[in-house]
Amino acid sequence: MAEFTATVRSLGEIDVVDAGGYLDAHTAPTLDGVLHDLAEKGRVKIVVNFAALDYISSAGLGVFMANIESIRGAKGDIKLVAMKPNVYNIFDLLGFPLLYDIFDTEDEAIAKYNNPDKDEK
Amino acid sequence: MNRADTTRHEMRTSSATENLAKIRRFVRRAAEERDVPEKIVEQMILAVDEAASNIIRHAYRHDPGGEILIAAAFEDDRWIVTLRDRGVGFDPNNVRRPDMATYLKERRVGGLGLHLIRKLMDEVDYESGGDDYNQLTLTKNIAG
Repeated sequence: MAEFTATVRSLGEIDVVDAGGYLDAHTAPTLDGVLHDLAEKGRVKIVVNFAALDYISSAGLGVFMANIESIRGAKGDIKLVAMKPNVYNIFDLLGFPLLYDIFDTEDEAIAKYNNPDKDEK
Repeated sequence: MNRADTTRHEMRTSSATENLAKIRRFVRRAAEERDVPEKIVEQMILAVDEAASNIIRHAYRHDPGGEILIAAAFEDDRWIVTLRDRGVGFDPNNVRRPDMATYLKERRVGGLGLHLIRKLMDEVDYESGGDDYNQLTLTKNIAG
C-alpha cells in the first residue's frame, strides 16, 4: 500500500483533493505536485479532504504555505476539510486556523466557495 | 509501577526521507515498554520525524549517504530520545520562532520543524560537536 495518496475529483469549478495515509517530508512532494498541476491548469478553487489522512508533519504543512499565495493571487483558495483530531492539532499548533479556511465537512467548504462574501480570510 | 530504568532502544539508518516511516515505527515500538499515553506517543513520533527530517535536509543537505543514530530510553517518568548525525551543525538560537502571518506573506516554507519540536517537547537540547557529531536530545514527561 502506498504511504500517501492524493487523488483529484472535479466538482464543476471546484477540485477536491482526497489525501490519505502519511504526509511527511518523503511524501509531501506528491501533494505539492498535485496542487501545482491544478494551479497550472487554472483550477484554483481547491478543497483538500483529509478524511483518510492519518498523519502530517511540518513538511506537509509546508506544501500549503508554498502554494497558497499563488493560488489566492489567481483568485482561488485552498480550503481544508475533514481532519482527524490528531491532524487538526498540528495545524492548530502552528496557527493555521488564522490563515486558512478549515471546515468539518466538504460541503461547508463548497458552500463557502459558492457564497464567498462572508468573512473572507 | 516499575520506575526502574529500562532498556535502551537504538536504530541506525541512512539520511533518506524514505526512512522516516521506519523511524516513526521505531519510536512507537520503543514506547511499548511503558504505559505511555497515546497522545504523548504521537507527540514524540512527530518530534522525532521533524528532527530526522531536519537532519536529512540541513545537516546532510539531502545526501542520502549520511548516518542517523537514534536512541530511546526511559529515566523515571522521562522519555528521552536522542538523534545523532555527522552532518553540518547549527545554532538553534539562530533559528527564530516564526510568526505565521509573516510566513504566509514571505512564502517561507522551512523552519517549522524546530518550532513544532519546541512546542511538543518538555525539553530540547542540542549539542554541535564540531567535527565529531551533533546530538539533539528530546525529553517528554510521560507522567501527565
